[in-house]
Amino acid sequence: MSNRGPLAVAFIAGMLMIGDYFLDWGPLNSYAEWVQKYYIIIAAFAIVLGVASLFKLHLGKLKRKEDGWRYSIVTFFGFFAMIVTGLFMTSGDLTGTKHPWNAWLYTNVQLPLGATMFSLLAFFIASAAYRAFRARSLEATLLLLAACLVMLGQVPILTGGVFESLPEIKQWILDIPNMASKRAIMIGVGLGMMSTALKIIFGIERTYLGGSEE
Amino acid sequence: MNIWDKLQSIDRRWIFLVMFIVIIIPLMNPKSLDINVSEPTRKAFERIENVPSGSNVLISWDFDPGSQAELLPTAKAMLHQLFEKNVNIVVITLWPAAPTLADTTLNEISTLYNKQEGVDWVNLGFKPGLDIVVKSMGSDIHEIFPADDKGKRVENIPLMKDIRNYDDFNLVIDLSAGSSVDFYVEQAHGAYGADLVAAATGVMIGDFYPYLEANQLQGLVGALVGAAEYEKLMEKAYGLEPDKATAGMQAQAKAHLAIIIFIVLGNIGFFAKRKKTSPKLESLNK
Amino acid sequence: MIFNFLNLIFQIQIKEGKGPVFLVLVLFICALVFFLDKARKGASFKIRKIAGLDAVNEAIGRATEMGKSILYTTGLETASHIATIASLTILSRVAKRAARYGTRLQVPSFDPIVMTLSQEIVRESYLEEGMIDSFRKDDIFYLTQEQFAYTAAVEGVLIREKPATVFLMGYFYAESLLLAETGNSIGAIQIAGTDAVTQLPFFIVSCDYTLIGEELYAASAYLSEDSSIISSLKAQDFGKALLWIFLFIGSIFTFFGSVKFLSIIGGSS
Repeated sequence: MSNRGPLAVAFIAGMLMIGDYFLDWGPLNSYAEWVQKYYIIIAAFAIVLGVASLFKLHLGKLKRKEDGWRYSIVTFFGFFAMIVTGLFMTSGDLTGTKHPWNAWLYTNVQLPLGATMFSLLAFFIASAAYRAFRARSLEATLLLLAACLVMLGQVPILTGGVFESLPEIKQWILDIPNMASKRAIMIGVGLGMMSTALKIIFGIERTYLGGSEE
Repeated sequence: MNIWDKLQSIDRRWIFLVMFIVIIIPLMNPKSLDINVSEPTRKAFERIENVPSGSNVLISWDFDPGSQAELLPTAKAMLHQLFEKNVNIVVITLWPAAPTLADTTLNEISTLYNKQEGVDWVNLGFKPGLDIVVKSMGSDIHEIFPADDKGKRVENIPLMKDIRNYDDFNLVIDLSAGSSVDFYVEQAHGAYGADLVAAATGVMIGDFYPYLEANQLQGLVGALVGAAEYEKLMEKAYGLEPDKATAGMQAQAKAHLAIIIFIVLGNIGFFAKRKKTSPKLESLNK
Repeated sequence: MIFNFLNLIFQIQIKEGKGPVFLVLVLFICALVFFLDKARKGASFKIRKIAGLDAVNEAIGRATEMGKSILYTTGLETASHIATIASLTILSRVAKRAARYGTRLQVPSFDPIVMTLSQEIVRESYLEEGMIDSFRKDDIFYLTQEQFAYTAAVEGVLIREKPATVFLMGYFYAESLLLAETGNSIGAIQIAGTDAVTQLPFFIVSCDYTLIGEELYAASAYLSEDSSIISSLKAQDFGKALLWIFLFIGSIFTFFGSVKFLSIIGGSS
């Protein structure tokens, strides 16, 4: 199947957006604004595709009574609860996410669940640090020392005497070696992004289209 | 499996249990901590202290429940400070999951000071577009936020009558779990000259120190430790009881210590095992 | 001169402050074209070994031998994010191998558009390998656009399905450690790649191999072994050399207290 059409679209659209970034020209800038607005609208409609995929997956699990099929019922229940309370119910002037039931579900179910998942990081970071920070080599030892110094400098657990300068040491590690290496990686990332974007615009990289590379 | 092997391969569930204990005990039984207030936090506090009574402040509430442990204590402390000083507050957000959290917090704290929505504070809600929104507020906020979070038109909100752009705010505060501080520095401060104070999570804070050094930010509150420092300043200035940040700081301190102890144990096992299987020792034993 | 001409004819002006960046872009495009031309004339380019990419085939082989599946995630960004596109190009190559070896490939998606792209890419990969009958559309599915709900769902898939190989390629936020540690706990071999600088440390401690920053963007060229695509890496090296020269000259000027160079390249003092 010929990829010429999609490649031409990618090239024209890409060059126009690059032009909008650099040039001050009314028609071009208006076009770019129009494209950005319509991207947001199209992305919103694309949710229909995603929901259809989700439904198909869970309905299939229910039909075939696969492992964990009961959780698919929970998924449907949560989905419909938020949709119905958010779209179809009103309470005086309060509609949508302001409806008390929808707000209750958000505040008492969604928020605590999100916070719970985030809090798992505390446990996982402990197990990851215990497993990974072994002084196997010079670099590993430096990593281990830096991690310990930053952790001790960040909290007021060891204070006074020789530990007075821990916060300054921590700040130095973050400001100098950490910042330098971060910026170096970001420069590389910036160039990589530019290269990948230009490859796609000029049609050198075509794997994102699927199909054979002709 | 000898002791050195055991030290190197502690079951992660024991680690989780120890972490749970060292975190939960300080949270249930908070004690005051000897916190040194850092210069960036002090600058942020003093800049907000210098906001005249009756003037307007814009707060960009850019975090959701995932980051509330680090940023909500700072947000609450700043709201207390601003309401104490009778400063008008306009809240917007660039994150879709943030408006409800902002609303709940504003309602909770404003009632303590008998502050009225629409008169003393307003929540204009979420608008997608990130830097485009930040840039647009420099020309006309009414255009980008035609109604508040509850759908009331801004022209019918008494507080918003005389507020059109950054010139009408004495200060802009960005409470950010992402990189929105970059947009505010570039647009609000760089293009429109607005004074800016920011609060950020521990992971992002390092990126924003250069702005503080270049005076593009007038203050920077970082992570939970920054929030605890801010609570200490509020306690000194207004007698406000230290809240979750101070309690959380103790938990964090114990957790850091526990992680370091586990790391040391793992390395003790590693080195002891290495010494035992050293070729030099094996040749001596032959 | 060109811009004055454009300005005269079409009332087009270059935006303030963007001139130096435009110049660098033009130089970069010239370098890209130059090295591409060289590649098409038969030149071959040497690139250094990237352990994480060399391990891709080994990782897929491991899943095949163990009779288990591969889990591939494209990160938590939309299709307009360049890291997601880079991840999709790697997915294409992973899918081809998976199809060839008859290994199940699951791709839970954060974004519906990315899900659609992933389905198309994987389907085409299976078609090219002549294994279209083995393609399972349901294995590439959308979950949710809520960060931690997505994380919880992927962790559930990891714990239930116990894939032998996990690819974490794309842009990640705080959930990176959650996903990587869960993958580690099930004994999977994990290859991660991200340009999210703040999440790199978590991947480095939890994953077997990590592609750091631009290595994610180099992956497609590296895995293709096509000199036309590899030539773009040479252009990147040229870009880095150019930046290094600017940094060096700027440092000399700043050392002697002059801001002249900074004002020429459009920076602020």
